[in-house]
Amino acid sequence: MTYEIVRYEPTFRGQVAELQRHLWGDDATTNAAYLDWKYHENPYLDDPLICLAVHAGRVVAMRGMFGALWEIGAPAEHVVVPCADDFVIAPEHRNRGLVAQIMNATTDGVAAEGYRYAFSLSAGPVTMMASLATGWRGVGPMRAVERTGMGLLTRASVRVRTQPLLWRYADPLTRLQYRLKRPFARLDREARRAGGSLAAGVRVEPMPRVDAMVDLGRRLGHDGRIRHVRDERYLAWRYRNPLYEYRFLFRATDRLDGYLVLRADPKDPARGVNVVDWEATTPVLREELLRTAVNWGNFPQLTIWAATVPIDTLAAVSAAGFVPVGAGSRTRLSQTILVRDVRRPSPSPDMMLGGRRLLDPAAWDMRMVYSMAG
Amino acid sequence: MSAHPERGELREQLRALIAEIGGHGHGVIDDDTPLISSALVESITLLNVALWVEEHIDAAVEITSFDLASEWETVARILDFVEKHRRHDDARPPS
Repeated sequence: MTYEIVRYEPTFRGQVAELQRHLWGDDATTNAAYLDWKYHENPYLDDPLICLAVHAGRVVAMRGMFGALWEIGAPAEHVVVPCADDFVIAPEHRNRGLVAQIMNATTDGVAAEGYRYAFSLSAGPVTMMASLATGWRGVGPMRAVERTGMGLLTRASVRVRTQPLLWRYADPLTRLQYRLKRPFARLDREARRAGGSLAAGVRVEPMPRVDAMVDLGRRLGHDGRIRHVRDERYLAWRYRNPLYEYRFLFRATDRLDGYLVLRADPKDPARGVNVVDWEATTPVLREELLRTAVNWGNFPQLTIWAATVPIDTLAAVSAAGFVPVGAGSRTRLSQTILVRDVRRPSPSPDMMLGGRRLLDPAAWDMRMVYSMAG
Repeated sequence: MSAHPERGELREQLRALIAEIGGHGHGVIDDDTPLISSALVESITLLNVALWVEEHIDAAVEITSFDLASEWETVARILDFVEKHRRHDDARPPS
């Protein structure tokens, strides 16, 4: 089969939304909204940077690059580095040599726009292998840790699992708890019960306090490591992601002292809840925010990327019951930062940006929200 | 006497795996056939190769810590990789 690799144009919008049923979700309308948000409304790239493979007039594969603005060094240098995502090939076109074609066309497109590097922050196992095979390099795993909550149905499932004849109902019970409850139902209820008063210490809200979060970020400062710029423009855009639902835990006195952001997938609550951003003026406040999220939410599964947690808070994460995901498993394909020098034919083996080595994990101040896992 | 399969046996296993997952004829892959640069082996097949390698070195492979496109470019290089990490009883390739 022959494929034509083309740059995305708005006339392909409907076909992309259909194709992405294989990756984003079953609902083409939501997929179209996600496409619009991520690529058309992106604050950093004026036009969507997406490559499509077309066969017989149909879009059969896609690879996108969404815009991201990074700050590096002190004083900070701001650099737009496109981030790869949304790699999908229609099942009937897999294993036909299309992977390298579309991966390379996309990075060539990034180079043609004048960028030197591209990042990939959300690659699943298949995309990671495809990326590593086409010149991307790994920085280091994000070291996911998770905490399994013990709600009523979870406790019932555990008990039933060991009972004669009843064990077969354990898995349906586990699934039921996800279907019955909206992911944040308990968190919201407990927050209301606490009165939402200042005495409660922490407040839970469905929308970001953009100005206060930006102000806190400025007060906390920047140590020069590579991180996304979290300014008003970014936060206002980022948390409008139509695929996910967010909750913001705020700890404030006369001004914001800390926040923790949770993300859930309402279409697939079984994916659990992620801590996608987390900042506070002291380790004690960080711990209070996490403890509140854990106690009020009692989520069946709560995940944090340990690589994004400050060293002085790792013990609190462990004390809250978080353990490494896949502990005891051999497979080491956890999410990682991937970096690509897009110049061909001579990419640099020692990739530098703002005086930092991109392949050095210590050069990064990462948060899950920078990736689309957030 | 080693409990590990001989290189010849591993070679046949690996060729069969690549042929089966990738949907290729077994005969098109020899020791030095470019697998990755030629796009003969794509992502899902590579993922299965990674799992096969882990099984034969009996340890995890830190897949992002080496140049996969180079070190797994041919059947011979993948077999070298297995023998190297099995011999040293060290799961982690050099970073």
